[in-house]
Amino acid sequence: MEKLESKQMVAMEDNNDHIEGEHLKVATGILARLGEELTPDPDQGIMELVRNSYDADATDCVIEIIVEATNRTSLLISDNGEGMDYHNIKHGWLVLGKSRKSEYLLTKKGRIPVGDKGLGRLAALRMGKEAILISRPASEPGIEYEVCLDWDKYDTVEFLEDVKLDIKRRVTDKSSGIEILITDLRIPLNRREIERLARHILLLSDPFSNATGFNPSLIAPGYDDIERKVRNAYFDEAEYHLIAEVNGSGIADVRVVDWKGSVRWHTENLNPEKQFSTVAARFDLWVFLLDSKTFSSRNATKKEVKEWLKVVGGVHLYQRHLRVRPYGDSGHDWLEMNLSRVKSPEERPSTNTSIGRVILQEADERLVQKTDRMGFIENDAFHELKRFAKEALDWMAKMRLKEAEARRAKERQDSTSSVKRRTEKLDEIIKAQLPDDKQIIVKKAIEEYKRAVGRETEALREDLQLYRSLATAGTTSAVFAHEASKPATQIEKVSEIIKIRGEKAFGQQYSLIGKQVELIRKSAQSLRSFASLPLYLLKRDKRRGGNVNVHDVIEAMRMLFGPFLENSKILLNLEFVDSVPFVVGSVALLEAIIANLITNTINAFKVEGARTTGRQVTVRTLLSGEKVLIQVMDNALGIVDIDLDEIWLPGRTTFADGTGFGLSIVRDAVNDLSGKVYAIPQGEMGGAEFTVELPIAGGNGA
Amino acid sequence: MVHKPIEHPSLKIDRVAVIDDDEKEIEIAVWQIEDAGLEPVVITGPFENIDDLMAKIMSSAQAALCDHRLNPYGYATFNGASLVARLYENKVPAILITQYNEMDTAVSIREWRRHIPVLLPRHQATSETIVKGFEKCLSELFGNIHLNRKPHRVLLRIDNLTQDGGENVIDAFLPGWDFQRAVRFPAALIQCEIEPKVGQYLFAKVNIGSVDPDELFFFDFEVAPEPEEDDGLA
Repeated sequence: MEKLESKQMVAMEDNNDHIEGEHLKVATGILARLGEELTPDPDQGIMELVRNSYDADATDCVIEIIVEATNRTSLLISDNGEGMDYHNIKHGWLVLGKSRKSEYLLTKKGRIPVGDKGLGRLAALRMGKEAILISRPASEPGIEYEVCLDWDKYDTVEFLEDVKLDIKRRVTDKSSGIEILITDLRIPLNRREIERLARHILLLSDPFSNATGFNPSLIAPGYDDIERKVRNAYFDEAEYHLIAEVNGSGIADVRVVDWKGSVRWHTENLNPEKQFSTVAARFDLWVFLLDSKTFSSRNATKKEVKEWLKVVGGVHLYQRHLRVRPYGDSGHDWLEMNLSRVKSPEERPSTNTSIGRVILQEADERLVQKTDRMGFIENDAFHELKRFAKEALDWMAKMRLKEAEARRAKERQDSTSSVKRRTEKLDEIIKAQLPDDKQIIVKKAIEEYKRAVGRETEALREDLQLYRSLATAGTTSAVFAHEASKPATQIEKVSEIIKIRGEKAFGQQYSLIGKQVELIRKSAQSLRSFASLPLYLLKRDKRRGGNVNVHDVIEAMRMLFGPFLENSKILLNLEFVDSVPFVVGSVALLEAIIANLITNTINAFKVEGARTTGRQVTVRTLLSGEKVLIQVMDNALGIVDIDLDEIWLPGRTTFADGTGFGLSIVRDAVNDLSGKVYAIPQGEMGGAEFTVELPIAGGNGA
Repeated sequence: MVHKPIEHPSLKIDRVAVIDDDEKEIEIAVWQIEDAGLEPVVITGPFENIDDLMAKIMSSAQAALCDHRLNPYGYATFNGASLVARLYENKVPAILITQYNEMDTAVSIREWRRHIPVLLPRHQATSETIVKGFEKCLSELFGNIHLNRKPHRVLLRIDNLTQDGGENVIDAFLPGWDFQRAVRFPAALIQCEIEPKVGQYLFAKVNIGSVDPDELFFFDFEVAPEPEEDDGLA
């Protein structure tokens, strides 16, 4: 071979000739590149094989995980579809990456093919040592073909075409269909992967209806349990059912039906100003109120519905009756329902309290799936589809919020007169039903009870008053800050001008007033920085959701609190972890946590007996798995004279001029960010130590 | 006061116009300009037409120190940012001063930021920073643009469409600047033939050399082509 090549080269050099018949070759390493490296999740590859069964008009497709005694695991996928003949195997199944995008012909059963480009399939086939295909074409009854891909053989050669494949033909008595056996899986499927696969299989064909006539199933350990959970539908227990339909002209009709089946709210044109330029689609969302009161009169228990939602919850997307991943997968909240709920928790469903589907109406080529089969290409039509679903959710939230506000107003009005009426009724009953001597005892007991309730109501009223005064203090301090910052800056600048001019005019003599002018400048500077605090905290775009850089927020708080800390002679140490942690939420929420913990520290040093020198506070960040820990600790006296559980309660404080709301706000803000907060009365530095634990957003930005 | 003009091969500054709606601020600015060795020229309002004010400034001074909010005490019907941008187009060095930096930079100032080389928060305005600011303006106006101010064509993704102070605004991620941090700008900056949508990718010219988000400016928006359906793997 080499000799021939060199002869040809010499011939070329001598005669200025050319060599014909060469072609590109493909190295065997490409199999891994296009297979397992492009589609790393085994379940995704397996789902491609299931989709092939759908395209082959199968009604059943069984995926079986076989664990042998030797602990070897194999995978068998079989269906009762049309099968493939010799030609289809040779020119279809054995050809990788051949696009079928122009083939929008319906199958014999009238299905629109969902087939792939062969790459996901490759990843699945390469999961084991061998992949054996047995195909029984419907066009040739009684005949079956077999072909075996032995992957080890590809490791011993250089190019793909160096491995010869035999397609065997033989007689069979089985009916048409396909069997694919993947032997000796390189990485055995663990329970979590099987569970994930089971969920995908169950949700693949719309579990909300039987329109597809396609039943994929899995034979694997633990599958029955998952299947039961998915198949148990609790749609009737939903409090609200949102039905939004956008037609081909981009007009969206939205209605919300309550659990009794009555239409609660309806709009025929969701956004008349800006219609949705996307494919015709229908969005259903069932919203559950997972509280004991709601479930007391229902058929299912709260626990059952909760478990069901845990498995199937989220908004799934169906195209041509089959589910498109990853929409609705765990952690893929494509309509940002959880984020919207964080921003405005009232009357908003989350993926844990709702289940939904978006069904795209028949073949519309404006939405195209990506090559790796994970979702649609994010083009205009897709963004508009998202906008349609999100605006429908916003509209429902707005309607529910309006109703909640009206309800609250009525409740406030009703409660006072209702208490009065019931008290009168109670007196009547006592008078009518009890003998005179018993009446006195009962009335006395009731009076005592009323006093106790009265005290509690009074305490709540005080809390409410305090919250209202804090809110008023917040709004007025913003106004004050806005007005005060200008004169404060003016004083600061005029003192600078006095200094410049004074030094020029009086030379040495200026030192007689220099210090006093400098004090004016510094005081004005402090005033300006105090005034900037509420304005900074109230900056509008801080309440916008997104990824928030934890270190940036802590740094900003250090700047903001600088003058306060300096006045109190507190040294603030920052100890940051090397990589930069981000959390999902808003700057305002994270600021609420840090600002209140720092304020708490400043107050802690004001307590009698607290040290006067060497005052220190440390703010530290640490990473722990998928969480970021923010620790705020000081060397004051720690948490004393109050139960640890009580520090989080509104209004509870041991500081003379504290409001008792700082730590309640910390707790609520941490909760909104799906985190946890702990306190240690006397921590590492001797004083109180708070640890806030928050989930990291999509890993660390280095 | 010793008179000490700012010299540049293309322009000499010795008279500076003071534009402000607050009399106390005018007085302070006058003192600061004097301390910088320049001659202050106070332009008294009110003005309903930006061209009238431009004409007054250009006929009496070579540079301007201009407050952003000119409306509260009834000085002008337009804001300082738009005035500074117009002066820039006429090669007049101008510094914009703002008291409410936090609130104004993302929207009402960003709209004109491309033509505002120097923005000084009021508390940072001193005779020294004013002189440095004019030097920076001169440098940019006559061709020497600082790296922080050089625009580059970059991709951005619209994350949110909302309102800020009654204005339609856009929050967008610029992966070429900082992929984790959204920047807000007024929707009015995008030419009307483009209808912005959440999730949409656009190209725009942005000075991504600046680290400070408040300094970013945007212009020349284009709709980015959609990703190709066939990425060559098929």
